Amino acid sequence: MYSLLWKHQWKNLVRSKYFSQGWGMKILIGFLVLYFGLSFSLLGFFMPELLQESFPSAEVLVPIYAQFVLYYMLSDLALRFFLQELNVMSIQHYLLQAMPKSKVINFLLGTSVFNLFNFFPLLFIVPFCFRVSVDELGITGGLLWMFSLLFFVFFNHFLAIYLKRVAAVKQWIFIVFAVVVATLFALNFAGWISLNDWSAVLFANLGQWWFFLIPVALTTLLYLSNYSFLRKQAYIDQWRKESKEASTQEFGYLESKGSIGVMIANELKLILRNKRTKSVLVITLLFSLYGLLFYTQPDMYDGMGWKVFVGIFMTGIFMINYGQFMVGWEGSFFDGILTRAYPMEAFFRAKFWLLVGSSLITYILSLGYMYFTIDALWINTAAFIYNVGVNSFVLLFASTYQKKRINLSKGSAFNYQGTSAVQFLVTIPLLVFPILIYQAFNVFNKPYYGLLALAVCGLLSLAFSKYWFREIIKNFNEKKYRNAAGFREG
Amino acid sequence: MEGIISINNLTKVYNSETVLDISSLEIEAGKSFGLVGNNGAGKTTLYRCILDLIEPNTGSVTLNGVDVAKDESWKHFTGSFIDEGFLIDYLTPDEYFGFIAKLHNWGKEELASFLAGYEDFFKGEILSKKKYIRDLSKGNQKKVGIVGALIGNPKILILDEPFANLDPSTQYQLRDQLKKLDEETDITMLISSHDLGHVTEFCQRIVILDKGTIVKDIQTTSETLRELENFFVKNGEEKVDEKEAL
Repeated sequence: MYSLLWKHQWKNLVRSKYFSQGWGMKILIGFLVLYFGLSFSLLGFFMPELLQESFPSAEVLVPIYAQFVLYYMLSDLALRFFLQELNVMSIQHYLLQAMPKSKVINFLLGTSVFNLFNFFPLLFIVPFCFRVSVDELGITGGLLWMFSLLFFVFFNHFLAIYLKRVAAVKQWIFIVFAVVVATLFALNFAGWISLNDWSAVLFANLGQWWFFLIPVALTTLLYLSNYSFLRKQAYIDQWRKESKEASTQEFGYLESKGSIGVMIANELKLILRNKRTKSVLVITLLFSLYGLLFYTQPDMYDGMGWKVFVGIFMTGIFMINYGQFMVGWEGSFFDGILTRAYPMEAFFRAKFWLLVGSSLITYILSLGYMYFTIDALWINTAAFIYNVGVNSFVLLFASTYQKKRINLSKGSAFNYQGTSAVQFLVTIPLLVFPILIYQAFNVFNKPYYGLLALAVCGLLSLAFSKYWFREIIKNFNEKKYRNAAGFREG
Repeated sequence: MEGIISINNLTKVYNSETVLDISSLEIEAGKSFGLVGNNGAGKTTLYRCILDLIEPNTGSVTLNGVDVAKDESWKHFTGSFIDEGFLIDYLTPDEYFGFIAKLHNWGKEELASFLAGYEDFFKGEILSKKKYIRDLSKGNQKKVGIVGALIGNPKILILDEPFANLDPSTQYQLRDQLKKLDEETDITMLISSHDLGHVTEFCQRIVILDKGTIVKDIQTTSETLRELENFFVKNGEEKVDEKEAL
């Protein structure tokens, strides 16, 4: 019976949209996996040497290793809270089949351990065990050492999925936890506490029989908690989402401004009422701090080149992040877009003004960097004008190629849905061209002319906006049948 | 005679299989027109061609003299609802209606008095409920779509399976509502349905589509329902015969 479930899971995986992505994306992801896999394997393998180098006087390495286990446990848990996906096999499909519920649930929990977060620590545990622990603790001790750590990994795993399921809605629990961990790390960094000492004490007995029983007991306990929680949830009325009350925020001013105003207001509602787009907002705010990296270290990033890059990035981050899926966000009702009583030009003008507005806000935020140097004013103004004049039209044009729907209810960390090689290609000219324009003057030691050139490009392009809109709509009309078919597929 | 909906030489081919082939179909203004056919007969494909959502391989559709593929102005006098893919699901129904009304330059009062006419139809489950469209049941979503299609007093109304997914009493309410519209205004309605009873009730003309072609074109009389039933019973038997012959 388990083999049947296995087969279903397998089919679910290979038939999922994830695998049917374009080759560009597959190659890119494959490359990333290979690169990181290889680097971390090497790091894990040579850990004994690295530890020896950092602690030249140490004669045995196992106690030193123990100093770092707590770091792993805490940061891993925090990461899991935010990034680990619950593997959801739809229990519903099996409720009416001749199959005991307990089996379905055991299967669901059992297969959940096949997860990157559980595989990853192995790279740091297994090689170290055979290269060091077995020597220092003897065969039995070394193996106990390894299995204890493995069970600690599972402990983290089941704790994370348990809390994620129980606290499905209460995100603040995770945020509090992340803040606590961050504070501990900060205190540790400042030297007020020593996580190394705590960890050394807590994990001093790794490799002892009795200590091995602790993670085993904890893991078993959590497995059973998970089991009983899911068992209770195996009724379909348990899954019905409590539909939250709809927000009633209005954009009265915009909505009084004719159909373009209402369309902008609608899009603002789209952004504020969906998970995925809200996470774009959060990312935008985070990235407005990106400049700190460059402005606070004038020695490392002297000259304006980097700051121009950061300027384009900061005043355009929302544009780039949101704009690259511009029509995709609305993919689930694309047929409606095509039949409603407005000309397509109004549709694109509304989007243009949204991009301008968002860029204006990020521009105002970026003026905070004038605190470091007045140059920030000139740089960010030029970047803002360039973004509004050039990049906005590039993104609008690119959006007419969108034909993949975006699921608005999923967060965007590690979410590649709707991504295709086109998105990556689009980002390059958005960021690289302005730098090239700037550098063309900068190499002759005329950085301010470079900024001026950026602004002029933006203004010139704006002057041609009528023409751009015409071209965008022409292209939109040529591609719309193909795109509509793509969006309908979901 | 040129109809308000005029279809010429329309064909659509998917993977070398012709799913739609209509040499000519004229629908007169002010009449209600029923479209029936089994699953896969090409109804939705025809609708999507009419609304310029898919590109036909040959032929053209004109609505009130406007070629839909060349000019967008038909959108201002055509109300349509095919499926939930037309609804902006993160809006509340009130916001959605407000949006459509705005596109047709309706004022707040005009919209309010229009919606007041649908209070019974909505059964108090739609308006001012603080719920997004995505959280409504399928039936209620459909109501939102249908009523939304009527905002702006369209000359042409296009509905795909409006009765499916609705509970019995709502079906009758909708049928009466459409009947009333047909009698009181000069709207042209194009309605498809699997329910032969409903379409014969208020459509003056009924066309049967089978494998993409028009196989029957009937003016509704008291005999129509029986004629339709006979057709579909036979059609089903033929399919069985075909299978046995294989």
